[in-house]
Amino acid sequence: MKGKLLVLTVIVALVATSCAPAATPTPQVITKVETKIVEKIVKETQEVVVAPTAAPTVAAPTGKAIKVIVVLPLTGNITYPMDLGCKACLMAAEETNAAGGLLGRPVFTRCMDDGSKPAMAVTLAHELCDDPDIVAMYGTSESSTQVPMGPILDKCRMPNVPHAFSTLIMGGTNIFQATPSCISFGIAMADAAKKLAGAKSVALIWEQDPCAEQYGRGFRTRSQELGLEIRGDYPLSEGTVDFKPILTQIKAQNPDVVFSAVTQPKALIVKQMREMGMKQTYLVTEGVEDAKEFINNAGQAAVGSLATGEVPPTDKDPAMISFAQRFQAKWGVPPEPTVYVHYQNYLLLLDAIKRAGTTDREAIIKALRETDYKGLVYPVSFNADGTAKDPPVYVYRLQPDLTFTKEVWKWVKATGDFAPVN
Amino acid sequence: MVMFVQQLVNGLCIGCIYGLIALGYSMVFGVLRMVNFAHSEFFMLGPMAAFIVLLRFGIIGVTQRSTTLATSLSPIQAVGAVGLGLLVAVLFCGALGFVTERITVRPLRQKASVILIVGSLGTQIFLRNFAMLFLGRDQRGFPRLLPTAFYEIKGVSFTSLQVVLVAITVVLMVGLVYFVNKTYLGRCIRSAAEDNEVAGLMGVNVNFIISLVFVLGPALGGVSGVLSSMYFEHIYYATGALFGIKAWTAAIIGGIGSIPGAMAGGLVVGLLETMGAGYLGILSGGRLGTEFKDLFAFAVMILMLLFRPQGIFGEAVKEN
Repeated sequence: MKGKLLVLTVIVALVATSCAPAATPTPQVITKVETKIVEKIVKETQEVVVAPTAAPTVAAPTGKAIKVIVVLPLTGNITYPMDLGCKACLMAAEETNAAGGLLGRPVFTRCMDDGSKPAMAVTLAHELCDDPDIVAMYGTSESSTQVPMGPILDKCRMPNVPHAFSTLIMGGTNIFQATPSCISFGIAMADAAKKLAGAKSVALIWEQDPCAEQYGRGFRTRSQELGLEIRGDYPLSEGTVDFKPILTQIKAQNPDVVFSAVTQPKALIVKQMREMGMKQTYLVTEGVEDAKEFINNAGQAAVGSLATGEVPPTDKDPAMISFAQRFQAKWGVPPEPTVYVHYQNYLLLLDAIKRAGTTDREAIIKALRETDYKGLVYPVSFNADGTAKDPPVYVYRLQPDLTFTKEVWKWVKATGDFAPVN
Repeated sequence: MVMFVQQLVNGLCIGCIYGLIALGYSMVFGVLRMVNFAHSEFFMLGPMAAFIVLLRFGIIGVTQRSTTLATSLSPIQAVGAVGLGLLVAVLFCGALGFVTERITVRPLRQKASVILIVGSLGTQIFLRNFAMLFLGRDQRGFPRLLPTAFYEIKGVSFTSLQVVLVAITVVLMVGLVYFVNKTYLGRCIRSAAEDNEVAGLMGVNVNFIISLVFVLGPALGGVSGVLSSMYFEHIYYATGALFGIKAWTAAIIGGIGSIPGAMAGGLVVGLLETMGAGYLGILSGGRLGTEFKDLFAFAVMILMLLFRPQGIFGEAVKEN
């Protein structure tokens, strides 16, 4: 009896774990009761926002909520900035509702987790497609999960603005990539190697991920064009944490810079480099996107590193400063640079719904195609294939005080030059 | 030649970590003839527990930007901090191993072996999700605790931490070999590993011995986790899986159930991995890149299973 009880306890515990909210995507079907709750929240929010400033009263949105779902990797490889990205989208929805909603109706948003796993993302895409109340989807944020989701979302004509950088995600006419591509980041880094770091030889380490491969390809091709000698080219196996065998090879090859096209272990690589006495300039993609995690894990070892970002310094523009203050006030933490883009591109999606004047998916796709949006971070319009027209790429150098914003350049794609931002 | 020796140093260090984890797999398999998949999670939970305690004691500090030592430590304090971290990992993982055995192993022990394996898989998933939910989904920095000195001898570089890592591994292995071969409890473990039922008939409290193995194995996993976290300066809820599979491979190569075998297997896997990363591209003329570094270790495991299934140190046993 005692034994059976124990077995039962274990089964219950395992079931409870498998039902953990962070790991289980369960799309929500909005009921009438929930719509009323949303309306109530919207009303209360408006009361809070409107009353103190005595601004003209904004009509409270009424009717069935417009469902715009956010899909991001809330567990897995890059959770911290993505969690903040989710919060930015929730904040954007709340502010939209406080300002009268969308088409006179409240916006309902929910963040769902693809777990950084393609299989989980595919299941999620099917579930979203099966819910006719969902009018559009923002996300996801990794090419490895966005690529398998794409055809499913295209089949159900789901308007989709992802935050994934690989050009491999393109193909369906429903996808609008509002960010720079992975290849352009790689090209920018090769230019930075030559023009900012003064390198004549390079080595690269890259993950086997759709985006990281494109980072590598862009860097490799551009390096050859610039006459940089590629002394080492090292792909990584998944989950590698011990880079010393590869770094031993690179140390012997003695390049001027080491470029790492990786998501997660970029901090480990630079720490192990310094530990082995390697003094080369470290170039890293996405270092600014998830600055906190990179700096937290790499510390002083990363000082002097050059990192790409899609966001200009956030402490200059009044609109960005205001966003940061609102974000900090609401969530108690400052936004990471990438969070500004999530906020902007989620609002871009809402703007398309507004311009479409309807929640019909096909009409929203048409409106997205005609986008000319002046966002918080950069203006967005799309090419015929759904890629963004000239999205900016910035290069940052990490300072001894572990901040990124003192030395920043905007990469000029046409010439490969860098214009100082500060 | 310098590069070859440097790769040997690299392989030795990572091999020590694999070896310590492999010891836990090997001990449990030796006594119960089961693969304890949950073992890899003790490797992850040990440093997590140490991290929390060191944070509470104010030894390490987490700022928005980094995880560092909260105050500069004197050499004695640094050794004390490492000792505290290891002790916490031993106690926490040992206790958790004990609880795991009582909840998920003992009630299922008389059932078919597949049920035991499913039970251990479930425990692994539970522990990993537990860590993710309660300790966070981000990678965190884990300070070195010890001041790290860098040495270079004829072009081959190594750190004081690498020396400490190897030294602790050697001490633990020698201690464990002594415990198993020279003490009463060790003899009981060996007899239970030989035959549970006969050991019971001879007066050995088999339940106690199994519990003991489930305390020792996870405690070693916790120690290796802390050493690994200091070495790589990070902790992450998902690290257990990858190290676990390598350590399991090491246990098979070394001879499952054998303590020196587990260590030897760990070193073999570590060396094959580093040599693979270092020389695969050169040996294959660039056709195979460093991403295939695990090819060596797993190929050796398959060959070992085909031609010497008892491993390097294991003894061949004929089935009646």
